[in-house]
Amino acid sequence: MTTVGFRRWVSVLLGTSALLIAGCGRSSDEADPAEYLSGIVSIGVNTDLPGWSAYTNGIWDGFDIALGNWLGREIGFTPQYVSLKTDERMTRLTERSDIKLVIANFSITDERRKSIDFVGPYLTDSQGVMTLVGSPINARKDIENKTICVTHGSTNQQRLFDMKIEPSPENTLQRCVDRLRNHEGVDAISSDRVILDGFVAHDQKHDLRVVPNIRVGSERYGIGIRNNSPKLCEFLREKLAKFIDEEWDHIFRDKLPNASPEDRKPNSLDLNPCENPA
Amino acid sequence: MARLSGSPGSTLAQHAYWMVPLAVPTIALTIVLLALGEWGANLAQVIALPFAIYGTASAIFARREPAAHHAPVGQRKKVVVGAVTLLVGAVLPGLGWLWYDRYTDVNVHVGEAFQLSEQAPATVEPRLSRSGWRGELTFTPTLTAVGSLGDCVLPARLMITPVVDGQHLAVKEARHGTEAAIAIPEGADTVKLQITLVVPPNQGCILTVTLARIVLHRMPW
Repeated sequence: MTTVGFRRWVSVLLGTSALLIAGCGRSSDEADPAEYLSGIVSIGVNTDLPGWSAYTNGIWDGFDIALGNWLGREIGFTPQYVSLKTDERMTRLTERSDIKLVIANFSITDERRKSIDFVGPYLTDSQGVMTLVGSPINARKDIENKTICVTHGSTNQQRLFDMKIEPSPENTLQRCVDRLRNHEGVDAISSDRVILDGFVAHDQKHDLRVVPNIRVGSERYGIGIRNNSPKLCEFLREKLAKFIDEEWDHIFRDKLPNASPEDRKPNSLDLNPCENPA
Repeated sequence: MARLSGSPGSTLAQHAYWMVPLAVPTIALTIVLLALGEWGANLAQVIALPFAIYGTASAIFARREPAAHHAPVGQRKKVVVGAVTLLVGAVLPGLGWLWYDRYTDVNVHVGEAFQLSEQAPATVEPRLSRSGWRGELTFTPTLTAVGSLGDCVLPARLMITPVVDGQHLAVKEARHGTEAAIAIPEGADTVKLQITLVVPPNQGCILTVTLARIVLHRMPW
């Protein structure tokens, strides 16, 4: 073997070793978050929730929309809102779709977190009950054996199964409101109190009210993202903390007039840690 | 290898002067790495590759060396090398045992997973598999929600109060999937961990807690 050939052989050996070392490192195929959230970004939202994400005369408006718009300005993308039914919030993130974020009064739960990741919470709340003005329902015991309208696939629906009531699921809360007003076999509606507050705040007929003394459990809204996205989660978590500190109060007041922000604004320093894939 | 097996006057015995001194510390190093447990495995992985590269390159360069460099080894050198080999062979295992007893990680047992809620704190009593308390007790809490509706696992904070021989030490906070370390003073007889749960309110969180990868880590420095 010549000296040149020998040196080349050693170089190949060392080069191969270096490649092996590099190959042994843990690789991540998650896209760069800033790149992932660029251009036009599809965001899944509820359609029919006044104060949260209502689509009227070609314009989206509400707290969740304001959050999506703020993220777009902050990160540099153009939000494209996609209307989702309640039970589609999970499936559109677990199946093949263009949806990259879901901002739709989406309660963070440990069960849901098995299939998707969450960034948040950006709002905390509890479950409540809404009736027509003048309804005899004033306390939790009053809803026993009553027909309560809820949305399919919501935590409200699951929580009510533990109570002695007749749940009557619908695809949308607006449909529940219509049934309540039209006396179509519904005594009350149950959802997150802050959503019900939105209905009352934008109620033109002034015939709806949230029962003050009924509060069940705790809802913590998060931004839904695809499972195993730790980089995106950390990226959005930082943005969300800024949103809570700088924008949350005035957007809440603006989009949900008459609703109290008390106990609903999360601590920006105590957002959930991001989940790391095992 | 040709010189070892084929060349006249070059027997395996003649190479013992370097093979044995190399073999003894190699075996001792292997024992030490085994005794270090997980840390030893990591260390071995790190040093294996440069050793392999160096070893291969050395073998290739050695093969190219002129035969004249392999002069016969003198009697005096053989005696010195033999004495050093014996000394190293006798001292290293003793040092290895001392190292193992004083400085290597100790496995810790805490029993089965346990349930924890805001209303029901828990106390666990870790027990060492050998040796005495000294060093850092490290573990990674793994939490599983019993219910399905709450947001409990990720926001949960375990407030851990170490109780060493009846004395309460500073509270340590731990979270799901993140390693926690608690310094345990030397000479402690009994160590208990009182664990309380802090979670967002009104969710009725009940969590199953496993203290994974629990070990008494005794760094030598």
